Amino acid sequence: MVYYISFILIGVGIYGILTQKNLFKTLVSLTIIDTAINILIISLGYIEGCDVPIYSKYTQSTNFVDPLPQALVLTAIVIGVGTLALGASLLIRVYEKYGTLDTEEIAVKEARK
Amino acid sequence: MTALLIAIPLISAFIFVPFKEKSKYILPFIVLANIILLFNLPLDTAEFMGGWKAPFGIVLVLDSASFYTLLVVNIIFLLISLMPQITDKGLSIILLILLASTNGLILTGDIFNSFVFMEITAAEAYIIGSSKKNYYGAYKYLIVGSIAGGFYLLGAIYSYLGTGSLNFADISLNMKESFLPYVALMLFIGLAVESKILPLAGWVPDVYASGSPLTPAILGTGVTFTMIYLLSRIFITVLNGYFLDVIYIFGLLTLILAEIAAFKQEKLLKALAFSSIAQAGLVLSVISLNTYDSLKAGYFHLLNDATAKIILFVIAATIVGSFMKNKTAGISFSIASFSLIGFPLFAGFRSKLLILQSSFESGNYILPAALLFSTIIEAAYLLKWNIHLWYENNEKSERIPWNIVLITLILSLFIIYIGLFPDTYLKIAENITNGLMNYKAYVTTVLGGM
Repeated sequence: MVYYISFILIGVGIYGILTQKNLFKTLVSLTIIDTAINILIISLGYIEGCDVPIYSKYTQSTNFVDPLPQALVLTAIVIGVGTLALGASLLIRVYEKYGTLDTEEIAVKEARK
Repeated sequence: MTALLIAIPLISAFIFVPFKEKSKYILPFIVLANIILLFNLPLDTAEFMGGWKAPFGIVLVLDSASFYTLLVVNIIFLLISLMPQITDKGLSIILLILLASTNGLILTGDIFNSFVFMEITAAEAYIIGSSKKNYYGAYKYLIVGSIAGGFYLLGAIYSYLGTGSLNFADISLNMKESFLPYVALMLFIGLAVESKILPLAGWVPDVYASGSPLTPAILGTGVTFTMIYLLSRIFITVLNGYFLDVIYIFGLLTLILAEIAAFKQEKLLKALAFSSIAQAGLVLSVISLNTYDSLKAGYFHLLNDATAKIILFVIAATIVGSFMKNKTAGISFSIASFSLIGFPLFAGFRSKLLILQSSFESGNYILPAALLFSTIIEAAYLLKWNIHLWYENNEKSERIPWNIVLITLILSLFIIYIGLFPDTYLKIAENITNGLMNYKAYVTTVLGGM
């Protein structure tokens, strides 16, 4: 279930990037794709009816969820946030230069130069 | 010890943050230290990070392929850093981090680790791409690059599902057949953006033609070399030649369409950007024939293309007006463009001949036809630009700084030397090919004779 939802979310993100005219909305769509991929990775490591992958005296279970995808997702989240910050700072500069974030208006101003 | 190749540039980048203005004079020394260290490392070894043995931990592999790719990429960085006018405005710190991440990308033997290094490389590439106030082009590059990064991550995760391991050697041994198409497709989409395959290379003209000479000079040579190495490592060594037919078709389409687009451009930098897409397509389609000779010819052509592209991009981005006041720079520009077209006596002729030979030997006639067709178009637009730049009357011509003239002149003399005695480049290409093709030796190096 979660598996298919995350694919739908990836589709939503790509649709947003392709159709939105406002650059900020494309950045939001990009974060939707990032999050969807992270959810997908977590769902791939999940095993039905298993415990959290931490061993202590309270959890007597011998069956654990695969911890490696969770470790990978932590790294992927950090990279995603870094890219998001870079994209947002580029957008601030774009706004300073053109005075707008609309792709059509920017194209008009580029052509006029 | 191998990890120092990544650690030295990374640590020095953070040390030099307070001395932003001075760092461009220190950059060549750090790159030089990297090259000296590289020659003192033992070949055909794997270093286990943190002491975890191969399938469980991250490995850094130094075989003959990664050694010679590292050598080429570091020398490209050295050449760029010797032109301090180009690495202005604190961008030399970005270059240091870029050097660390490309070195890591070449050395790593772990697919998730390669994703991390690829994202660092891409982030530095966005920053370099935004120089000369080209923020909109850099933003478009960021959007395309991050989607590609996401697909690469998906490919890495699916190969983990199919094998239970993230290690390159382990994946090549234990990959399940049913997972191969998804993994190959997703990794290909991820790598196609950075190695400039056409439907995904729409960002290249926007970023390369921004006017800053640093952007195309480093992204079009050093980073492209790294990405094509990584692509051939993944598809030839790890996936054992699976999916190469698709790459062959995409490479051919890229070659022809990009040459036609380059012919139509009215700006020199945009024409050169499309020409660099076309050369990447040619190299990828030759490599995907997957024979010893074709891989050798592909890497030989990639080396020639990198040498010529440094000269062309640096001169094209710094010159104002005609060559009449910069005759030396004009001569090196002409030599580089002749080499790119493939006139006899120049290095490009040797590599195009080798490509033709190797594709005829493997019974392929479409690639030679496309190569000859593209060469005609290439000759048409490069000669047009040469005549235009030599004979145009422009009053506001300025002199190019002496060190840029000197370095481009030395590189263009080297092109003629390679055209007469191609052994230096052939040896590098042969060694890279040996490392890529000999996948049993790679597995033994990483897993220790398991």
